[in-house]
Amino acid sequence: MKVVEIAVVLAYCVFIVGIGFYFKNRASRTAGGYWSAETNIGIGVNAFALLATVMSGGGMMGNIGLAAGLGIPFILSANLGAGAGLGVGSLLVAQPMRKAGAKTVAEFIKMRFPNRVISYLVPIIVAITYTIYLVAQMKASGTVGQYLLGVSYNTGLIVTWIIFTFYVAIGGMLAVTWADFIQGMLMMLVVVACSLAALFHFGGFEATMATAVGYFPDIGTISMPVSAYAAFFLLWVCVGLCSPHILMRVSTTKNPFGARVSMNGGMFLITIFSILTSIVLGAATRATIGSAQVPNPDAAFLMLLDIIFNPFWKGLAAAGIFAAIMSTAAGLLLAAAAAIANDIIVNLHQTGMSPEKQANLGRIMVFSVSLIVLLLSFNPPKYLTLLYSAAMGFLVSGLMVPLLAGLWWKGTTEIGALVSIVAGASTYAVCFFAFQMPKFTEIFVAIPVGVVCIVVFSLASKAPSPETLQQVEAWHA
Amino acid sequence: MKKERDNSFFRLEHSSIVSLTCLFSVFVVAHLPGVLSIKFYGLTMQSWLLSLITLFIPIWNIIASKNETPTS
Repeated sequence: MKVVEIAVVLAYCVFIVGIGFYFKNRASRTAGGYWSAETNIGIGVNAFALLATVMSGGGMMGNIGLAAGLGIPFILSANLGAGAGLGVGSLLVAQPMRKAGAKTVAEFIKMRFPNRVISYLVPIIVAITYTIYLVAQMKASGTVGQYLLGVSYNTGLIVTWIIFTFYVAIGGMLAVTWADFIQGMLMMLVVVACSLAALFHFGGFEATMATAVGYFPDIGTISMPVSAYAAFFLLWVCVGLCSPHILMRVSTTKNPFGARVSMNGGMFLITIFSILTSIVLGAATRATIGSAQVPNPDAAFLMLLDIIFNPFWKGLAAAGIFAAIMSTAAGLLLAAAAAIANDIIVNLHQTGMSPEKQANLGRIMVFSVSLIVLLLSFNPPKYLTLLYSAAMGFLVSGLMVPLLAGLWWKGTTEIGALVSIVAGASTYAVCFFAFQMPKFTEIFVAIPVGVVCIVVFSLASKAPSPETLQQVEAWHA
Repeated sequence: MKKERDNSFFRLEHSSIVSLTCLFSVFVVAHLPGVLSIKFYGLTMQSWLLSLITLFIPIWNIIASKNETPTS
């Protein structure tokens, strides 16, 4: 056990749980307060919250290890793509979605396509995808506990689980957003401090890169097929463009202008964060480990921390990594619970449900989803990263085309959207399970199939009603 | 009288078209074989170009947004 490091992490955890308690009463009043933070979040807070939501535990540890082990350009492509997804989303999705006033992506799609099958299909896809993604975050928390704090995998797992489930369940989106804001600032502080300390240690950027290239000549080179780099970038653009846990942030802003500016602020912060983690810390980590193979890429960054920091800063760095894990996990948990509570159960409840009951139902769902995730995390699959990347590809293949077409093409119909969701998602599944395709390239088959289906079936089916078109026109006004 | 079906698209703002065109063009240029082989501080130009464009786009988008009136 490392006492100073654990003390810093515990102090941070108590603070984060305190945020949940602080927002408890405001989140209890209505479903809007619970899921959308009363649509009252400022631009700066939302931008940092977006950084914390998008950059997961993988962003803090995995990316640095991957840059040191596989070269900088590969992981940098994905990170910059995630940032670019927010920028593109701010242009294509943020304003109309905020004007529509939907609390979740599923609710937004339902407004455009009032079809019973779609209203159940979308939340089911979201809930399944995010449960898998959450297991990956939990596994990362167990690993940090093991390597950085000297506690067992299960202890790290359970402590993280208790904290983020607690503040999500009691404080809803308000607590998640404010906790994410603080966590985003902590992540940025840790990354900037680590980068400065590492550059000082190795004698500046040029010397750090030269040392890294000396040990690993291909660290800055394109060494795999170019299509893998391009696909990795584009996959994460698509994820940023249509992911419910990212787009839920749009509904928390004060107005459509705030939604657009905060997404661009988030993109800027993510780009700075990516450059520092992938280029500066990736090179510094390689300069630390020398020419040796990286046995556990996720832990490589911790070796750098060992030589540049004292125990207090190591504790703060551990808190920063936990912050990255918890903030992403909180966003995912809220989105998965919202999909089941808000989009399926409230939908099934024909007689209507009071706002207070809806908020309480949200809490029950947060605990239920979280418990399932914890049970799955005790014995996670070996190739979890591949599994959750595949899950995100599945989500993108099913939802991106109907979301964008529904917003921008007046001719899109319910039938076209339904066929596109089913065809896009199932084409992805077939490509993934039945063919040996290069990494991340399944979406390049699934998305075009979704586009063809939505065009053909929309043109072949009955045009959308004038009321629906009027509604979409109001979102663009 | 039978009403004509509307299959048109909503129009993107001019600044958004500039943003998306810049991003797509730089993405394509960054992956050209000649560009991939150029290195700066030991790192391929593909990484530097993508980093620069993803820093530029949000600044451009925010400046463009300021010309619009915030609505609630």
